[in-house]
Amino acid sequence: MLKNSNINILICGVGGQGILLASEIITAVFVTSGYDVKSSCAHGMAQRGGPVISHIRIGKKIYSPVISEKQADILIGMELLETSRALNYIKKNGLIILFDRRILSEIDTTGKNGFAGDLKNRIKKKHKRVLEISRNEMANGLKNIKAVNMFMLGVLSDHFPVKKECWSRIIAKEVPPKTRDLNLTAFELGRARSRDNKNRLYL
Amino acid sequence: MEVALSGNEAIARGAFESGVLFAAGYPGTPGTEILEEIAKFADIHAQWSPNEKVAIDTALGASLGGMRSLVAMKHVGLNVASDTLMTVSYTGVNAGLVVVTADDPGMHSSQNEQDNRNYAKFAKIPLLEPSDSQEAKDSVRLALRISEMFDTPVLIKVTARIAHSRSVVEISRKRNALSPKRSYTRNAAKYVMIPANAKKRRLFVEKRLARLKNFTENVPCNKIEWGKKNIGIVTSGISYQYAKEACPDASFLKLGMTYPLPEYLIRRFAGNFPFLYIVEESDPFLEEQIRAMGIRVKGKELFPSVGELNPDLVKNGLLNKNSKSAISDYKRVPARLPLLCAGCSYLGLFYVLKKLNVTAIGDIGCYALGALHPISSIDTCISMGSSIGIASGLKKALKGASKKKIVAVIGDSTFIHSGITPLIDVVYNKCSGTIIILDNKTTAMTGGQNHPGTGVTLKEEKTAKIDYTRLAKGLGIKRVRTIDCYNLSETEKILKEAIADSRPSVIIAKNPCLLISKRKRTVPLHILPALCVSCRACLKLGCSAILTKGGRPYIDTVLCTGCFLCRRICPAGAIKVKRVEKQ
Ligand SMILES: Cc1ncc(C[n+]2csc(CCOP(=O)(O)OP(=O)(O)O)c2C)c(N)n1
Repeated sequence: MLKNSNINILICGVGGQGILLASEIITAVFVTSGYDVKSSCAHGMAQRGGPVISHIRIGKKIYSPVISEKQADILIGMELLETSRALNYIKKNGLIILFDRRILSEIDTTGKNGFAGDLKNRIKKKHKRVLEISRNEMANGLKNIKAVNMFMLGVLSDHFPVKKECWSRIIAKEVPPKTRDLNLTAFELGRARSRDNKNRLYL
Repeated sequence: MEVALSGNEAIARGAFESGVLFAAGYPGTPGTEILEEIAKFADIHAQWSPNEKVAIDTALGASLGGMRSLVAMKHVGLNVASDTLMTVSYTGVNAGLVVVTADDPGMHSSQNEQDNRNYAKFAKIPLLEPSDSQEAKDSVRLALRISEMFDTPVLIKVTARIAHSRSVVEISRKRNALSPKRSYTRNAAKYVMIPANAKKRRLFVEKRLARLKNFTENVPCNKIEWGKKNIGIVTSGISYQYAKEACPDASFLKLGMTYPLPEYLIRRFAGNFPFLYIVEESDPFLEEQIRAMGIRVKGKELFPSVGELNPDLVKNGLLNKNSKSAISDYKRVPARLPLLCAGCSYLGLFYVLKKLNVTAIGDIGCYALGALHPISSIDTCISMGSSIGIASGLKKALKGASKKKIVAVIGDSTFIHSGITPLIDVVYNKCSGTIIILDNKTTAMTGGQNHPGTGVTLKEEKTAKIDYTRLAKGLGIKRVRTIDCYNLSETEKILKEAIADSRPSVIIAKNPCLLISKRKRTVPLHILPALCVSCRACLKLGCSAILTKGGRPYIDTVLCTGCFLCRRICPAGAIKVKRVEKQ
């Protein structure tokens, strides 16, 4: 059982990063494990590189599919600008799993972006519990940055008392058959990465 | 069995389990997946229609033929289908007919945020508002029952937060007994809406509404959840979930059927409180009707009518706190705007249009993104198909006043949806002007659906394909040409000739969408720093693979598709194919 009554997970990034799939997998894992789950994804123009933000709420009985301000236990940030945008959602003692990646967009090429700066430090200054995943450590283990969503799922999965097999089974079912092995490897690597992490949340 | 389904999947599941045999629609976020999911059930006849009007007409026909039918569309789609809807209210149906509207408060991906509950009142038909996926599934069965019991089409309204949220749904493998087939019988008094018949049916509509008012008093989806007796909240749809989250102890009157309203139930509930809170997204639809019953209510003075609600906004409203936007960081960080894909053929077209200094009147689809910096080439985006009419009206108004030529830019799916009729107008009313049809062979903006120009149906079957050239010629357009937008010089030449012509012309851009074409990615390009003169000409293309570092452009080789557009416009010849090392 989860210790807290409800767990709120937020995933943010941009279109094409596989956020939708990741949240579908999390949702399915916890529904299978007998929880009430609601998840909600705003992904209107995502296919054109717009921002994507996905809310997942897990507990005994969940009403709102969206997380309230300062109520997210875990924020999975797949992109630095979008993570800074979502900081208001995170609980004071919540955990940010941060992928150190910046995906540029129109605002950057026009030079109108007065916010660029060092986004990563900004995030770390504002929030204490950050588990940072570097692009290199992804690339080294995987040789493919595309499966970063599954790597992050791996990290996340280690924080819950749900059997690893349950995750793997659902991942295998949800991802395209051709990419199954890559995705499962990414998941394993992410899970292992979380093991040596002092920031573990015991939920 | 319990599974997590999105609202859209749940509606499809509901259609299956409750014996829907015919479904039609036209893509539109957030409702597109309803038809895509229904199409997966082999024995439901599911089809994409050219537009929402055709969708509701075919669904009505199937209903008259005895099949339970469902038609789904996004909120603005119902505007297109409304001509039929308003009169089907009079005729009623044979087998059940359900209309699903997917509204988009907050405008995640729409041009407006109209509240389609107003259509139920306008057309005097029943309205259901599910508040999660389970209710979305159940609402289809209930809607069909009401439709057949009361001889009426039934409207189900979902919003993006229902359509795209997942929650737990109990699904059953077995299918509800299909409704006894109601055979087709001619009934002119019911279905031929000439005034003499329509006047009688008009009276029927009033009687039906009176009967529905009785029904809604006892329908299980309208229910009181007693909590503390000092706060009484009336709510529906997703707002129910937000209000429950914000104030779980309050007493709730949760309305699943919101037109017509259960007046006695509301009065019974209201009797316990000095006033009622009405928590609803978008328009004060419940609020105005309940206030008109003479009941004291508080609603839109506390909860915004613009955009989406959320638990924080509802909480602030209940506490009468000034709701400054809850998620303030969200606004402070610069917005990330959607972009055309790197290497999209539209980039080439827009480049030429800018070079020719024409006024480009746009339409709805990916190409509307051509309005954004740095392309800044599109002047309008209003509603499906409106580019052609706007361009010809503008042309008449500006005659002589502006030297700029006017062209209309319209996607293939949009052209088929609503562009053919205005093209007839162009010929009929002797307009000159150039209409550019972007034949990318898909409905790209909504995720890549087939349409009558692709030669494939919703069920992935082969079918006839529209020939735009012959269509345009058949309508009386003399100058019809095709272009390849990656060939900038030829595109420029053909467009120049077309806009110089005093007769109307149609140009068909034939490059397929990169997201659907199986074209192998060619080798990426890169910019040689030694040759680059930093003139930034390549940046004007607006390709998302071309970025800058310290003011100098460079190409992101992961994003680059090797389309060569930038290479063709680089005056310094600094853009070259990136040699890949052989391993
Ligand atoms: C009446 C109506 N129905 C549906 C939509 C949703 N919608 C937005 S753009 C679009 C179609 C775009 O397809 P196309 O014209 O082929 O252009 P593309 O995106 O492929 O460039 C649709 C269906 C809408 N905005 N209005």
